[in-house]
Amino acid sequence: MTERDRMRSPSGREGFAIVAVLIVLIALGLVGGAALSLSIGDARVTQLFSRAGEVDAAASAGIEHGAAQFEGVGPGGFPVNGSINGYNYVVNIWADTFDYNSPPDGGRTVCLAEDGTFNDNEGCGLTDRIVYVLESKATRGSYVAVQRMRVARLTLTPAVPHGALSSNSTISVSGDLIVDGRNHTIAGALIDSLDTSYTKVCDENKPAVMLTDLADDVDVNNIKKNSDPSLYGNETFAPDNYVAKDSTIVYVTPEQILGLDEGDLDLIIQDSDTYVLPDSIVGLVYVDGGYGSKAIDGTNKVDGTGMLVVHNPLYDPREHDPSHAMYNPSRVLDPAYAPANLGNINGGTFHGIIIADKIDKIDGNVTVMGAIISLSNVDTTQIGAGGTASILYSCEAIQAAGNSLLPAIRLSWKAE
Amino acid sequence: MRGERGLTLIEMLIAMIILSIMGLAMVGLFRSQHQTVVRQNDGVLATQNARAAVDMLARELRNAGYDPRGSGSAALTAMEADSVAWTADLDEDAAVTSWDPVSDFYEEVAYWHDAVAGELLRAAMPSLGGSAEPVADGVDSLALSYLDRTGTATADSSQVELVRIRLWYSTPDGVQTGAIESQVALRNNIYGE
Repeated sequence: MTERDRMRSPSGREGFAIVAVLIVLIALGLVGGAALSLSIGDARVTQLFSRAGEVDAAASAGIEHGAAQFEGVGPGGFPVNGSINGYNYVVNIWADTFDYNSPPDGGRTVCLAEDGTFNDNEGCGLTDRIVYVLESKATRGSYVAVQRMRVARLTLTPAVPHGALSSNSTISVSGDLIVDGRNHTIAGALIDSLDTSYTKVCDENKPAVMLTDLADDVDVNNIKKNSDPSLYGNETFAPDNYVAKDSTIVYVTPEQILGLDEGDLDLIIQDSDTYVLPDSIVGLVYVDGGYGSKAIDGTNKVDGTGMLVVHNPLYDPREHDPSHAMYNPSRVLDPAYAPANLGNINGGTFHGIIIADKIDKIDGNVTVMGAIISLSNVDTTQIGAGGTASILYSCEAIQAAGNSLLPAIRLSWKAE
Repeated sequence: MRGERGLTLIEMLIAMIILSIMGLAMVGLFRSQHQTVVRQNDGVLATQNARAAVDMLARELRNAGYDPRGSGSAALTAMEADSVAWTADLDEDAAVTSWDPVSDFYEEVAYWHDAVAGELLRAAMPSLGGSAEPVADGVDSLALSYLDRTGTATADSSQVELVRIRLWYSTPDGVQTGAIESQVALRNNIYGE
């Protein structure tokens, strides 16, 4: 043994301690490795569960986003894209199709009828709802979740108004008032001032004032323009291009105008005595004029998008028309059957259709984009603008109002 | 010079005895650690199995009653405390007779607890001969509650809007036990009203 060996291992017994320490270290390493392996496996499983749940939640968020979009503006505006907590989703929509028939005939758009049944036999009727499929797909890396929900909504298809201002009786307009029957965008931009087609479709120029079959011929000549309001209409109706009479047009009740069955709107009628006009009208508002009394009177601004109805459900203009077969003198004398009266619109910008038995006054700076229909066939409907008012025909605004009427119905849901 | 003679027999014996004692202690430590690891592993596995089983049941159950064609054939078909079965028109063909094992797509599903075997069983398309397959073992009991809109228990399958799932499990040695709970909103029943 050299001197160096002696110094390194003087007794030759220290090796035992090193071996023992190594054995203990290896044992502890094995235990630690096993524990670490378990922890990593558990963490991975936990992450798998977590990611699967999160991507599923993102797909649900997409479905809710799509449903809100559908309720707001209908089937337009899709696909809807969004992101939540790092998960992206895209929501698509399409009209559902299926073949319910035997033998099969290729299938058509699925409709939800009022009785809750589905069918494609006869297409979608006026009161049927088109069924749409909302599909939300959420992704993050390799994690994917797809959910599908069917929705439907009643989209009213109102009778096309044939003028910016339609009435069953003569109209007296006055003040700083513009009545423009030419078709405008929902923002009020004139689309085509030269369009003279007038085929009674929605998307074309109309006369400023249209009198219906319940109006007397003399009414046409009695359109009064006091204080020189401006009337613009379709040039087809020369020489007074702003006014026309069409005996094929019949306006009787709001339900008839909106393409519904009589009584369909009874549940939403609100008493004019207690009705409070909201800041913004959305959808269909129906106020009972209270047996000839005034509704929405005073200084109410009318803003929003939808349809505003002021009507006495007992009032039928035909019963008040001496020349009509349904003329009923006792009803004429009974105040319970008197027309409701839209007292005053005082400011605001409204997109859609206003249907009123009678209209007293438009005051302040009012803009109505869409159309106004007056049902009273006896009394002169007097529309006086106390401020600067515009009634601009707009097919786009009417259609937007039709799309905003009733909430969507959720029909079925599944996760794939 | 004495230090260079090596170890005496007695020294060797003493060293071996000490090493043996240390070795035995190490073996005991190893066994103890191993048992701990095994138990922890069993506990984790049992928890994961139970959680996976409840998650699988919940994910499938939420499609119950999916009936996009209005055929009326999709619904909860069995509502017991330890079993549930349902149908769903997943392929949207107005019938609930389709399945696709490749994509794990079944329109008729049943889950139930086998108390004897301690297993949660699942059968796909049982009315067409689908056999039971274990989803999880070590399941001590399963308690299903069917609640209506007000949170009240109901036996009317059309009124069920929430199914509460409680599953109790244990490790093979029975030492560790636990419970997993989940609630499933049946949207197809909720939307249908």
